[in-house]
Amino acid sequence: MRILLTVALFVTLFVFFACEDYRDINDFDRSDYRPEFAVPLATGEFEFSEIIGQTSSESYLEVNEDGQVVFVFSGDVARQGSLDIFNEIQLIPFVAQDSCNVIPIPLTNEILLDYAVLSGGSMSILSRNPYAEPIMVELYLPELRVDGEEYLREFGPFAPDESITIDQPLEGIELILGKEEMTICVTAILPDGTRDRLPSDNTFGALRNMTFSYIEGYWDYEVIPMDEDTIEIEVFETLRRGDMFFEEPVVTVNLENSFGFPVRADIRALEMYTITGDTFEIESPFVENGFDIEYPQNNGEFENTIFQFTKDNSNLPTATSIKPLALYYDMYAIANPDRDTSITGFMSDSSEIIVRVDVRLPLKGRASEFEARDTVDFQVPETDGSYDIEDGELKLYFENSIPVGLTVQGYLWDENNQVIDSLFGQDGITVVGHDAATGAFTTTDAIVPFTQEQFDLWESAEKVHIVARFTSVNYPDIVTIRGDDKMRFGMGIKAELSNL
Amino acid sequence: MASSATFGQIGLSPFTAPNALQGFRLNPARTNFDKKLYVGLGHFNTDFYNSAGDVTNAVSREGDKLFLDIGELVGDLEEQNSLANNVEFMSLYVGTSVNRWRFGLYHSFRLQAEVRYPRDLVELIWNGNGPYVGEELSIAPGGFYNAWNQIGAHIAYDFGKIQLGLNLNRNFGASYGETESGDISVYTDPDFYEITVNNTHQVISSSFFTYEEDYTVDVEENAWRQWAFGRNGGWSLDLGLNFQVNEKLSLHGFLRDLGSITYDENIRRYGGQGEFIYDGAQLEDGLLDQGIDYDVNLDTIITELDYQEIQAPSEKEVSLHATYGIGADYLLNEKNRFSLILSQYHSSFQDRSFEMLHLGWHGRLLKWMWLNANYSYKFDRHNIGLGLTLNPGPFQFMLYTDNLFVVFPNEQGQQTALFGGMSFTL
Repeated sequence: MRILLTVALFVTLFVFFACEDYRDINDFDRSDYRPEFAVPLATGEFEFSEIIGQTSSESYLEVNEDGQVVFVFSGDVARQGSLDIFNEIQLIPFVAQDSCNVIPIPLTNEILLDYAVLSGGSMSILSRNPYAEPIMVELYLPELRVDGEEYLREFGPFAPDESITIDQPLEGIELILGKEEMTICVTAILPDGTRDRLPSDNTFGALRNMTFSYIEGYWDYEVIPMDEDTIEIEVFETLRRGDMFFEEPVVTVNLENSFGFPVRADIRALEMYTITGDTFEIESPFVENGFDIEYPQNNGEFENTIFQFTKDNSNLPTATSIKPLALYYDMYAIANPDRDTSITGFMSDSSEIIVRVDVRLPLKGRASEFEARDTVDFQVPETDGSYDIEDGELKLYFENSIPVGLTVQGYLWDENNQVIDSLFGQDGITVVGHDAATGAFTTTDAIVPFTQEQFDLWESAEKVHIVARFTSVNYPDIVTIRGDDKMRFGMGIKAELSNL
Repeated sequence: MASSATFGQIGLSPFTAPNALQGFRLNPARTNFDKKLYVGLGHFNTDFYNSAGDVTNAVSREGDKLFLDIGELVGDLEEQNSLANNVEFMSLYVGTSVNRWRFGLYHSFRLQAEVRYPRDLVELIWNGNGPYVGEELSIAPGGFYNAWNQIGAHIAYDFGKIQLGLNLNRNFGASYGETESGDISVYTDPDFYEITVNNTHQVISSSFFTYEEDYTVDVEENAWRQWAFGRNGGWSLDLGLNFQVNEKLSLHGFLRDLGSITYDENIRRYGGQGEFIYDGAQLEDGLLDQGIDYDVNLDTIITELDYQEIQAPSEKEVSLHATYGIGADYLLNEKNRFSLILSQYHSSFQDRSFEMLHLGWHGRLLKWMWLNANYSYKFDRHNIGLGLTLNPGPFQFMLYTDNLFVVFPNEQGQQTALFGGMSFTL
């Protein structure tokens, strides 16, 4: 028993003094520490309705009344104002041959002027008092109205042999003409009330720099240059291969007119430049004959005219099938194209015709292997050298309700724009287009494995050159893209980490 | 006498030692005083509990360096795992007996602490989330920390065959912290590894730590004033009964640490911000123009998952972890004694109870030397321990362990304990 107890004693002492000192543990063993992490890299949702109008003033998307998404490419907004087509009358001189003198109004345009409001200019009279007593000088212009009354004013008195200088502004004065002439009466009034004419040999006058804020009358046939522009159709500019066809393209001419007389749009040129370098002329009766522009009945109002070249009145469907890069147009306006003298028109100094031409491509059509390319900056998540990424995989996920599928590949470029690797394997990834018969949306999963060596290469990439080929569902069926169609996508990475 | 002992979780063996002064701390009725004055100095009683596998299995040596291979531990984890530590440092005990009465006064520093961590958390850290795509991981750790100052009065009465005892303790909380509720779940979606984190975790602290933004935890130092009396008060009781059946057999029962501390100093509560979904860099606003700014998105994750201070109560009552039990001692002869204790340990942290069994043998090697061998079952673990008691003159030294597996590699080597102190009698 004593031996047993002695052994037990030593065992007990061993227990208390044989412990390892774990305070010496330096670190945990990293050699086997290779966690595998799966993290999302990026996600996005592309819904057509969310980017309506968000691109630029020249190109944007809109949803039409049928819910279809429409690409809109616009030309510059052009304005043709009255000052451009109705210049000021710089000088109308006259000699007072008689007490009342009728002088012509030399309008530069073929206008039969009935009524006008002068916005500027002046009237001058130069003479000398030939009488031995002081006189007053009366000016009477029956075609001019001031506050509704005929222009009648007295100036003076002027002493005997005194020079007579009268200079009157014309701004705000109304002009009422039966024909293209006006009467100016210059009368001397003696102190006893006697009225007499000033001598014609030294009485002169002039109307200078007459401008108009408003005129009424007949504007004769006249051709006015309106707008010439080239609209870039960006949807096709990256096209490399394949085919795309829009079933119902439209070229829209938007006009706002505040000229109060008939005007006709005269399309001198409507052409498309194609990616093959050809020029395709759009044919339509309305190109040959033009179309009328609505005009207002009251000054200050605008009338809108929206004229559309469609597949029904032109050869546009054929035109868009040739993949245009731009639309060129040259437009004129013809005033009173029918020379109808019974129409009394008007215009003011603020009258103008505003014109904008749009190319509208409703996303209803078909595409086959339509290829687009773009290059964007690229950066993989930085590891800071604190760990290595082993072989792993990229995971891509798509939810697509757009009836167009695509195959996409990303080519990684180094700083010299040299391809160093492809991002999505050899064949790229294919996103299935949505067939409405299969549900609300179509999902696509793709796993792209990569090696550690590849990932190291990716870290040196500066840009990714994306090549995407679009094909509409059930090609060659026609498909329609609606405003609420969208594609949600996400990309994640799963890989083991080492050397942590 | 002086004593020094090592034992396991809420170690029971030293309380069964012959003539052990510290026995009253488990059962206040078991004060077998036959001297006029008993003085105890610096009795410390600490135990550690690790529910995971044996750390020694995961330690490897390369030259002079030791490395810890966490992977070796992962396989041994249970769904929930614990690291626990209980400490009692009885700085002074003075006791005496008057006729059949026994009296004593004592002062102790106490600590009850535990960290719980789910297997999911360790696996997530060690394996990453890659193997768990499509699964929801629950990773919220739990924690409980209660440190307090205790002044107690001990009184017992010997009715002959029956002894009754009571410890009345006044407690002053120094610092407290606990995870109250909620969880942190992590779900990795299989589509493109979209990660959903739902953090409803909620923690509370009183004079323990403050949480700053950006995951900065400032642990408050336990300055003397925090240990001083008069703050965060509470009462607790220890009750005991001993029945001497005959000269060889006695039966006893005890209730320990019945009471609480009400913390009302510097209470702060922090909570997670709920659900956050990380799906990578957002490309809606410039898919092909702006590139991807990963850093911004990582910052977003960190911000979204951060804790925020929320409304805290003005006071918090914290129950002590109580122990209940019954036992028996059998004196076979002058050289051999046997002891048995059945007890239950109740943790107020997450309201859990653990059954414990102690079976011990005390053998007298010399007139002043006892050896102990014991078996215990605690926290679903089986342990074998040894102990040594020396009684040279008026001093007593004790050395006990409930667990030999700490030094003998074994998958169940998950707990150890230490008891030490000095006492003498006049």
